[in-house]
Amino acid sequence: MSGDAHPNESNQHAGHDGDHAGGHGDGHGHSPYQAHHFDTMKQQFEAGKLGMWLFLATEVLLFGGLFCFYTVTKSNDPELFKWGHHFLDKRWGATNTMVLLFSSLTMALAVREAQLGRKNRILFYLAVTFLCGAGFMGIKYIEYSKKFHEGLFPGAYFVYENVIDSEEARIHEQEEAQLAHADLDLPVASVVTEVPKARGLVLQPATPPTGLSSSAQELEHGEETAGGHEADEGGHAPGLAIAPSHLPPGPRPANAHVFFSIYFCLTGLHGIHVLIGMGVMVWLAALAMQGRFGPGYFTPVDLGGLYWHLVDLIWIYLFPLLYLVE
Amino acid sequence: MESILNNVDLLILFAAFMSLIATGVVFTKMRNQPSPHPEFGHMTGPTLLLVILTLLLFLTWLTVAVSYVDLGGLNVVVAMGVATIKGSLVALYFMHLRWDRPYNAIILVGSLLFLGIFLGFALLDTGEYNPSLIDDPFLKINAEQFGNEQG
Repeated sequence: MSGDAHPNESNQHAGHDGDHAGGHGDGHGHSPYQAHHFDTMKQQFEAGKLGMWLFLATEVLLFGGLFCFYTVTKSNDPELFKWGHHFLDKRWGATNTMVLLFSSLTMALAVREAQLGRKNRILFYLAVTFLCGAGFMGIKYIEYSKKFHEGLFPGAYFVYENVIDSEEARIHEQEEAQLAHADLDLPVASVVTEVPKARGLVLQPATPPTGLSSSAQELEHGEETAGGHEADEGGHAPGLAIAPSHLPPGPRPANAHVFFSIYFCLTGLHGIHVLIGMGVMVWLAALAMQGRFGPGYFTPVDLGGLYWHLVDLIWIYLFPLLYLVE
Repeated sequence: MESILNNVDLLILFAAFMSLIATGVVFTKMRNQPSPHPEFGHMTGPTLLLVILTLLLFLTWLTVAVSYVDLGGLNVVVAMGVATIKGSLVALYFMHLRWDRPYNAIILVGSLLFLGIFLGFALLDTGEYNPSLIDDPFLKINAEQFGNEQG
């Protein structure tokens, strides 16, 4: 970043006095922020921006490796994603998207205020951007702690199968759902004594659908005898680590841990970028406090903004890929 | 909290409308003010930035709403298409690419091109392999055909 060219003013002045004592007494006034190897501030700004874009290209390719991991795994094993998708909460993902989009707006406004040199407004917009980043990480914390609670760790640390009776609870839930379709409150066998009001109807003894009723009762009965003991402990025990509504719709695939490796690698690397971006906000705020930015010099804010927008850009792709697409 | 979260699509729509209203308010306030020009670089007006945010929020609502409908294979296409439109808006307006010299855009497009090559060849390669060669019906059929031709 161009910030490296002039770490701070005092250093630069020391350099002027020491190395170029003769060169700078000639009265050509230039910005104290202009490095020696640039003709104009415009050239310096555009060179800095080009360098930032080169860095952003390496960032795209850094995430590209993980996107490749995602694409290849998904093309080989789409069923894995159907199972794992169930554990991601798209409501939190959508909220995070909104937070990040809004922070992008405030960052763009911070760049504009830096171009106008309005110190207090720069600080305000930087603070809002920082808080949005913190909010994003807060929501990430909620999501991650839920996953850790359920033993959904990446790779070798995946212990979902050890979570108390999760698979039994899932089967129990499935059976409950099936039983809910069968109406158990049907009368077993009672002759209809009421005369139908419609005259056209043919009178015949109304029998309840005994087949359905008895089979449902059998199911219920069988469960009580065979799996009742386990179901009582596992199904609704207060110690169950996973909320019943959160159980996946199908059995766990053998490579379930791979899905969470992908999830944690992609969102984790993105989260690290958000944290770095928040650090950049603090640094920019410290520079802005010294009143450095104005119409002639706003490169650090602009480049920090580019970084923040790239983080937003990557999330724009991560959100549908992980949360929305099954 | 839970009820707000359950209606997150409505929440996004609400945010988009709020952004639209903010756009209108800022537009009427800024209309008669001369737009300042920096010494270099491009300065984006707050009205335009808010318009872009409104579009981004509406597109987010669209992609979340579509995810509740099962379109089969089209779901991925819609999600990626909307994401690409959103990404282009961010890159063109928030990242100033629209007004920059083209070199910056060339770098970005170049990196995406190489990403495409990377993904494309990885997919081509992984498509050539089967998880297991034992009991592969595809291979067996081929072997039979081969035998018939010889006989």
